[in-house]
Amino acid sequence: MAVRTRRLRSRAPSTAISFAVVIVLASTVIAVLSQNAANTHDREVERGRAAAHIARLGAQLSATVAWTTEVAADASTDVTSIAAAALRVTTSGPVEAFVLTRDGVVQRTITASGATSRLGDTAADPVITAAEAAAIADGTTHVVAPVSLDGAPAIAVVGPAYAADDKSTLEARRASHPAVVIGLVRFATLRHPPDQPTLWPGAAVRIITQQGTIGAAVRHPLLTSEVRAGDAVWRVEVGNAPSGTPIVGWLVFLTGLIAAAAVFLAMRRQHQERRRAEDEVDVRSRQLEMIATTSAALQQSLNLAELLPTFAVDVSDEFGLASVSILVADDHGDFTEVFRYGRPLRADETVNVDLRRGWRTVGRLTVHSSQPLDPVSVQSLQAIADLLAIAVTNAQLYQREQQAVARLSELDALKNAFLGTVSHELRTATTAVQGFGELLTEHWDAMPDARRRELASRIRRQAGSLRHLVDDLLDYARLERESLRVSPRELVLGDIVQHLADSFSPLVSSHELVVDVDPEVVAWADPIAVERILANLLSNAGKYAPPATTVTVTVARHGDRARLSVADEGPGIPLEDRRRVFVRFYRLDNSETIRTHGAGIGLSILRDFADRSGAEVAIEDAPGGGALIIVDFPTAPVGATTAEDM
Amino acid sequence: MGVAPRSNRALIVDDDDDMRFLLRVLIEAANEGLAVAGEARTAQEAFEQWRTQEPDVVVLDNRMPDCSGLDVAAEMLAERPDQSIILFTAFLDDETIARAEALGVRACLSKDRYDELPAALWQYGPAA
Repeated sequence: MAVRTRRLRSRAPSTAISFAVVIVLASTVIAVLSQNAANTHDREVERGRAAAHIARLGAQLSATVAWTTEVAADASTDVTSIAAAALRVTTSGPVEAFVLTRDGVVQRTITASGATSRLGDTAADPVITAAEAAAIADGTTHVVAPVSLDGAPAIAVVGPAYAADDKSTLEARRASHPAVVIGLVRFATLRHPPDQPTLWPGAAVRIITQQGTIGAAVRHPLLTSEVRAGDAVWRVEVGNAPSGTPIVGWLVFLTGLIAAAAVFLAMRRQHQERRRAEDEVDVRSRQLEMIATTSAALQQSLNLAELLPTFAVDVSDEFGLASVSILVADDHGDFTEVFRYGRPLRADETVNVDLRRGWRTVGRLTVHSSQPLDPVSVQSLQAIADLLAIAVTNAQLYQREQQAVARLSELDALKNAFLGTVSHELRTATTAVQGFGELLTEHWDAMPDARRRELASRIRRQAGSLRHLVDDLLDYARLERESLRVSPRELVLGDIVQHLADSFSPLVSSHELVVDVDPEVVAWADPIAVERILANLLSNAGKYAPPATTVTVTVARHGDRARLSVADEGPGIPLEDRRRVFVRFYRLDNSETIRTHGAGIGLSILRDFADRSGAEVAIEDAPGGGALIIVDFPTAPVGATTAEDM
Repeated sequence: MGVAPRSNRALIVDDDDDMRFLLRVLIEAANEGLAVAGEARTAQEAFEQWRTQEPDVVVLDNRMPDCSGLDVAAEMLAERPDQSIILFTAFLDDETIARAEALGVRACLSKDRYDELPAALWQYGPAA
């Protein structure tokens, strides 16, 4: 039913990705460029710092050697004087401790702080021991590294202490040397003297000595130089540690990456919100579209059986409903489900929308949804329900109109049949009367008396039938004009029925008429109405009961009513026809019971007279299987309407 | 009309007693070879009488309790195409006459012209 429109979706996810990629690329480029710039800048600066650092290192080494030499030179056999000099140095210089040994045995350890725990081990270091021997041998200060001081790399400055007058010859020195002074300096302390500028973060320094290497490996040394360490020459390399690469580029790259991710996430969220909004607009658009198409579709037919299935399926699809039910209200306002699509679940949300037409509720639209319906959807359903209400009302009006047309058509057919029957009745009766009259006139003399009497009797009977037919037609005309009036009064029903039955006997001339009346029964009725009722009762029995059967007229008291009934031995009136036989022009359409006589208005006239007299009419089965038609008259005035509004 | 036959027997089919009686008296009064072969008040009785009496002419009312006279005529003519039938009915309209002629009914006579029936019986009775 609905015409769908295709909407172009935004390309936000790919746009966000593109933005992120651009940012990443840009940050990469910036990182590379900044890295290069930083590298260029750092190399120049760092080279200067490295040179200064190496110079400081050399100076520190020279100072340390000088102090140790000084301590050793000032030494004498007096250990106390050596200790005093050593204490002076350890308090103000880089040398952390002095160890005084003699013949490889620690004589004394001097530190500013007094800590001595690991110094004994240090003195036993084979490198130091070898340096001691060399110092004693050549009488000069030796510098060795690395040695271990409390687990950290250190240097040892080994200087021989002699008496001033006793160092001319080796032998003399060997014989007279009182001790060896060993100055210990941690490499870190030497490298980073207090209050001096340090290298850049990540910088590495490696010192290569004759005994080994101090410091971590240096990647791409910025500067390599040599420093003197007493009688030794050390090579010093300064550069960046392998893990200490400048991170400016990486920082830029990482920042770019985070920025790209943030941009991507932000754009994706924005896209999702926009898409959600677009989806909502799309749904509303389709719902409006559906309201429009529903309006057109609901006007295309006046047949609910054609409209409702399509309507229910479309509404269910558009609103994502589990089921759609359409109920129509009857004249009492009770709802009856006329169509259902889908199957509701217990957990579904139920929404009832009344179908209103002005002040009247013509039905109800009940929908079940597994998801709660938002207010806009409910409003849309209300709009659709209003359209459905119009369609339902129009269909009902059309249906009623069709029924009215069918009833009128049926009535028209009945009237045509009625006219044909009346014509036939009149023509037959008048032909018989005229024919018998002519026979009597033309063949009177030649005709025996018995034949003459028979013809006269037949003329009388046909005249009676004619009179009854004419009376019925006149009654019918008066009833149609609503001009028929009855004037009930108190009368002895038995007497009047007895009298009328005699006069109406020609109506059942082929039957045996039995009249059984209670002379005490009094009714509140119009004698004309009683006459017309009895005439039609007898006429009906005469038409439908087979000849030579008995027709019984009874008058009796029945409760507070005066009952007049006529029973015959005909086929009876089927239960399903007992209401319809009182409809004007209706005749039993049964091959066994149909008769050509009668206009089909007798029982309807009977009913009208009975209604106007306040009498009740009923049809039952007669004891012999025929029809028993009962008319119960009131025995006293029944309200004020009996005689006034006729 | 030629030489009159020695007899002309008619079957009267009508649901009204008085009409049957009138036609019988008319036919008997006309005499001169006209006779009533039988009477029937329904279509069923008509076929029974028709087959047993084999009348020369069937005088057939159109409005009967169990079916129409034209239906009876159609069945009789299907069985005996040369059967002479006169449709004798109270209400004759053009449609009824056309249908009767199409079936092969010899004549249609309105009931108010009952006095013409004896002549019609001669006219449409058995050939001389």
